[in-house]
Amino acid sequence: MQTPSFVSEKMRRPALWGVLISSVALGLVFLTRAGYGGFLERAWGDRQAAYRTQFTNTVQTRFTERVQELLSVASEVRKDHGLLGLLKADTPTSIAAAFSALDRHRTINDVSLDIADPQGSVVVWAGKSVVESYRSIFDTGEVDTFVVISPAGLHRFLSVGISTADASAYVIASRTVEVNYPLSNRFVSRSSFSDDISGELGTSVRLLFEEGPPDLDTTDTILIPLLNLHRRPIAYALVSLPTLAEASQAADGLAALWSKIIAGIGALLIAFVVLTWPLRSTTHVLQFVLLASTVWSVRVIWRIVDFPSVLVGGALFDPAVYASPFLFSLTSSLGELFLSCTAVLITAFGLLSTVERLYVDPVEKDEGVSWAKRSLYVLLVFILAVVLQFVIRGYGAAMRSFVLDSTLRYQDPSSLVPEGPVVAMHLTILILTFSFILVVFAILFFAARTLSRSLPQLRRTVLLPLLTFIFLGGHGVFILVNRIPQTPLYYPMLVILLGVALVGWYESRRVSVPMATRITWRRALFMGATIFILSALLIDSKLHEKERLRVQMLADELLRPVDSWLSFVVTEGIRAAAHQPVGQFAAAETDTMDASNLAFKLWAQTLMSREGYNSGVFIYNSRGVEVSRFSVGMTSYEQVDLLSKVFDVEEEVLHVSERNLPHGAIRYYGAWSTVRDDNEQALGTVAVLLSASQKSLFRGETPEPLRAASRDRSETTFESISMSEYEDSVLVSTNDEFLNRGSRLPTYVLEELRRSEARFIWSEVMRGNSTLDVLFARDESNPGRVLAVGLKSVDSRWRLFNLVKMFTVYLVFFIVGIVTYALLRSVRRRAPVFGFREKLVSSFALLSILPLVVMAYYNRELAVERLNENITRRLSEDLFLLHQRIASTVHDAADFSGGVNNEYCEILASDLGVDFAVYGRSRLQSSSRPELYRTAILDGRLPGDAFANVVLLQRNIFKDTERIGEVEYIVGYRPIVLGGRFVGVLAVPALYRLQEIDEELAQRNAFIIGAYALVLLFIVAGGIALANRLSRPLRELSRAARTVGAGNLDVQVEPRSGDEVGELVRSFNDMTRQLKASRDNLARVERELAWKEMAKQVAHEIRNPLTPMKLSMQHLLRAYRDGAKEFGDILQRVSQTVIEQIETLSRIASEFSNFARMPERAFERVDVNTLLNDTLKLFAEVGGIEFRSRFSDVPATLIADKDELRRVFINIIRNSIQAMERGGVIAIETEVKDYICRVTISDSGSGIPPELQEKVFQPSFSTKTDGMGIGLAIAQKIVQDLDGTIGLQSEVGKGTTIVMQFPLKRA
Amino acid sequence: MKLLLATLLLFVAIESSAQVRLPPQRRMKRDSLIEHGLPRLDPRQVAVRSFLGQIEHGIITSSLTSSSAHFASQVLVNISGGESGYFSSNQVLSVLQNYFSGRKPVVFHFSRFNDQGSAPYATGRLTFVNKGSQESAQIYVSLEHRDSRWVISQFNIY
Repeated sequence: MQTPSFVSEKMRRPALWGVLISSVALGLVFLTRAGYGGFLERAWGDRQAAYRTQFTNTVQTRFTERVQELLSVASEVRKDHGLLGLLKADTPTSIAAAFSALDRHRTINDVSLDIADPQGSVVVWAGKSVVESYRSIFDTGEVDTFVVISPAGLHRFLSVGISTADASAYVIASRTVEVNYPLSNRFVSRSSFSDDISGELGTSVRLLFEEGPPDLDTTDTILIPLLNLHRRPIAYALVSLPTLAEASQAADGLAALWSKIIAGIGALLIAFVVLTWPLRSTTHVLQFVLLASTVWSVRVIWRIVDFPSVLVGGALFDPAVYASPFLFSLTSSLGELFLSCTAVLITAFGLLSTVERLYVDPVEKDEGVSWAKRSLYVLLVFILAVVLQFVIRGYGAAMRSFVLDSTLRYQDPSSLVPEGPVVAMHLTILILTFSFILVVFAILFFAARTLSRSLPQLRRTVLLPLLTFIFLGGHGVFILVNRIPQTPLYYPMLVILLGVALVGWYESRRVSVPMATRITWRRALFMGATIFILSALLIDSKLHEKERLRVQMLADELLRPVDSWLSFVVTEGIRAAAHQPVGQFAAAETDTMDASNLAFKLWAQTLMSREGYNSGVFIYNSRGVEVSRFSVGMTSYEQVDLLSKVFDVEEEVLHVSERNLPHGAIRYYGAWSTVRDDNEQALGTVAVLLSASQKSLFRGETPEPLRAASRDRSETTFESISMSEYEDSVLVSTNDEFLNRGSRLPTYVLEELRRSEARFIWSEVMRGNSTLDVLFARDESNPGRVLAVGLKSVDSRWRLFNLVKMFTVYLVFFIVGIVTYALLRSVRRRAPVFGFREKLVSSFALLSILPLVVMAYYNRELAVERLNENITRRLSEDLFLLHQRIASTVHDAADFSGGVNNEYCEILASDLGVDFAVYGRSRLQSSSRPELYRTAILDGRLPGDAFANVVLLQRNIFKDTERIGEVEYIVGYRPIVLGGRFVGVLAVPALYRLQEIDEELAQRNAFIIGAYALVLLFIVAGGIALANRLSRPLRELSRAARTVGAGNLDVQVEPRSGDEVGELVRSFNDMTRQLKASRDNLARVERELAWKEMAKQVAHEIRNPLTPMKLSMQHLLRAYRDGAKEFGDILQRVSQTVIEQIETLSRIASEFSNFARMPERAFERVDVNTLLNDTLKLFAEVGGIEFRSRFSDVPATLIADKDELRRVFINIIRNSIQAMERGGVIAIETEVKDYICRVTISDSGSGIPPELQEKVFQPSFSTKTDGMGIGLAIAQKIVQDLDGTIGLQSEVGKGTTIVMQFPLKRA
Repeated sequence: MKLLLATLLLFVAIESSAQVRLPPQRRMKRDSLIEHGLPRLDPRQVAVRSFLGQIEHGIITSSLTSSSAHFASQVLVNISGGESGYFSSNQVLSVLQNYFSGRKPVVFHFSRFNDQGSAPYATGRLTFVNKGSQESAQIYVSLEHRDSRWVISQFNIY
């Protein structure tokens, strides 16, 4: 069997070794695991003790390290005499400088630095606030150096303090040791000591801050004291110890991991062994079946053992990115899909190669096929037409899955470079589309060859149109039965036409397949373009389908009277809030601090807070007075309005109301419940509200696109959705600028909705100059109500941007592929892939990209700069406007302290559309978003730099970049001056404007990239044209040189220019003319010499028989004259001699005639092996010669004149026999490889001396006494006429070997 | 040989269209949610409860994710500390399989449900074993009626 060309036989031995090693390794893993279980059980006691020791050491060491780290930072500050000097100077300027100096010491990101006076008041700070005053700590007595853990909102901070040398100040460095925030998102960093330790130990760690050691040390947990600098415990870490079951499971996991890796690698190695194993007598189809089964067996085994997903995790193998149960879970993630598509590609290559090998010679017409068989062949072609439709449908279904079964953002407008998973998906699509093209081509090629065999009289000009007709007919039939088409109607027709064109091109060029054996960059470019077009068309179509699905879901959501999930969240919320420990309520009655935090604590424990909904909890005492409230994302007005409605319904009954806003209706859910003690006495009331609008900031995600439609930003940069509501066919509300209230619902829509069972129908509607895809949805609970949701096509520049992005990804794949291929060919010393023209085009493209990249970079930088300027300008305007409004309503400091509260800020923020906060010197006084401060997302202390610049240095405007979690944003500050007196600081955060920057940049990128792409396209097109023009003379010259090399010296190239290239062309023409003249002269001289030589030879040969003839006649004449008695005998003898010599002369004449004439040849298919076998039989009677023959397994069929070829073999064998006068061995061997038949005839004769070996093929040469010595010359001529070669190897005393090579007819 | 090849191609083509085959209709069966001695339920309630029973059984036996027929074309999935968002019915199978692959269900039943309205729901506590230790999570399932049958439109684990 011929092994597939991509699996070299040299790999067999290493693969076998690999299989052996894998088997041994697998056995070792199993044995180790089996023995380890028992060992673990026996040693578990010691192990646990070791864990205790290890965990204790680790926790205490890490804690000590953290303390030392903070101490080190504080010490650095303490040593900064410049800073301390600035403090001592105690002027506004020096203190302001001290703030900057202190900030420079914050080498660790989340460290807070405070410098406090001996009374504990913080005078200079940098970072988050920990405590308002350190007085309580100083009162404990540990004033030189202290280590404490103190709560600050939802955080606990580890603080290390150290006094200055003169004890005039204290430097305190703090860092988060625990975060008790219910959510973890990009705004709240969960980085804490307990999380770090938990990650390091691989077990759960909880910190306890009780006085005295809690009694929690058990067999499964260990209580580790955290010690301060004086080795006294200030907190405890409760660490869970691993259990035996966990350890055993971990060992199982490790063994399973290694088993999977070894099994995966072993399966691949076994596949190599199978594919390189030499198997005789197998047909092409069986070879393909073996290849396909091996490839898919490996694939299935890899899936079963989860290889390579056990090694490579992340988004590639995350089902949330892509997953489908298609193909028996071989596509259960993006990585699995990629591997499966690679297996499909290998199978497709094998299929195409097999189909090609089934039909080697396209010229042959099988004239002897019966009509029954012909009919069967034609029927087969029709079946293939239907099979092709299934293949196209399958491909369409796969592409649909790639879009609908994934959460990938194929057309993410905000990113310039696609994400990694998107690139991986595009690569997968490329592989699958390539496979699809190969399979389509194989089917069409197979059909074409079958058709031409069954109808041999068909010419190619008729065959291709007939093929097209049959396959398009198949498509037509398929449409009738295909209930759920997976591709647009035109798509199969496009594929068929493309496939037929490929078949036609293939047949006309006689290109060998598979294409990997002969890839040129042009073919790769053509294939790449075809893949891109076929896949882009389908992807676009499926993305549109997905968009429609999203709109349908939105309509469904809007039509649904009540969202069951939100109802559930609210009922769970009220249940959780109303069943809290009674003690908390009681405490809230007396303690203001407890009261203010109670609502927040209850809210933080509900599902609605965890899910990040705009919601609130409101608590009232038994007298109905509000004691605590906490809400997120709802204005005071909304809260008041909704609460009044909620309390109108019964206890624990869900209330749902709707508020109509300009951008659409928003639903609110609420409920209330009484809180009772154990004696069923009412302690108070709790109410819960939830808004179904965008999820709040706390979730930290970008808004869901669906919900964005119902927000005030219903029209975003990326898509726009219009919504209209009809009541009894009359428009009652809409945000569509092209519709007027009172417009009527189109009649056809109404009829369709009435007639159809479906709730939704889609229709295209004209709006202005564009077309809108509108979904009309019927409200089942209110038959007269129809909702129309429209999806407006995005700007064409966005579409171009997405297309360019996708094309760029494919282009990168193409470039990587072609460069890799070129490098491989270069390593193997094969002909280069890139010619001069391709290098020219590549150089043009590269040179044109560089300035574009530079321009793009500077353009982006400029855009960012302009946007930042814009934002800071708007910030300044907002600050000015706010200050003006405050100053107009608040007159003095007393007014400011008493009147500027949260409610005031909220109303002002609502009026002006700007959120802001107000600080009374350094502490937060009020804010329009108090929940951001209550939940410690924003710090309640004015940042140090802002304090220094605005309060101390009295700057009018100060802007700073601040950070919460992973988010950076700009904040603007200005002093609030009332009646000429400074009363506070106004702060406006530009948190939400980040998204504007991103959108603006995305839009710029999109629109500019499209323009750049067009420019690049023009440059490349122009470059190609220019390169063609420049390289044409060189190509012509190259072709002419090849023609000259083939022996034709009549070729001339037309010089098209007067430059160096033209000069080169003219020189070439002169050279060929001279060569031709010289050759003609030489040929004439040679002919003359040859004729002279031949004439000499002829004369010599003729003289030979003439001499005995003359002598014989003379002897006869003499005998006649002498009257010899034995005249009769003499006459007999002389006659015999004369006749023999005449025959000799005749033979000489025949041989010359054979050499000189050009006989008519009868070409036919000749099996070389059979012919040699038959020729050997002619020499069967030759004594003393042993004939050994070894023929190839593969048939070696030539198109040749059988008799001529036989004469060649006879001539050579006869020469060999003649060279072995005392007998010997003649060995005859044939071999077929790479479409070349090699015939070797060796003898063990006397051999030919080296100086004579060159002459054996010359017509006049012979080492024999008889014969003309033109046998080998004739043989050479015959072989060369068959485009073959003949050569000779000989060694004196050992023998001679004649080697002939014949090219076999290839398709 | 050619016929064998054509047969092979036909087989491959048929398999390649497997994805778009309609899922088999499962027989609805009565389950523990339909309690004896209660007032007569309307057919819609019976169907809802029956389907919830199937879901309950599917979660305990880890067979819920064997077929996308149980799920709507787009399902909102919310897993605390994990995936969140809309997934296709095909994708949700793998997402949930991924979640349950390391968590072996021990006990589960719907403790509360609402079979009224256009979007009935049910919630219950799932106890499972994860890395040798027992843990629990709350599961919320919401249904919708599509193409004459009930399917899961929302699946939350928190």
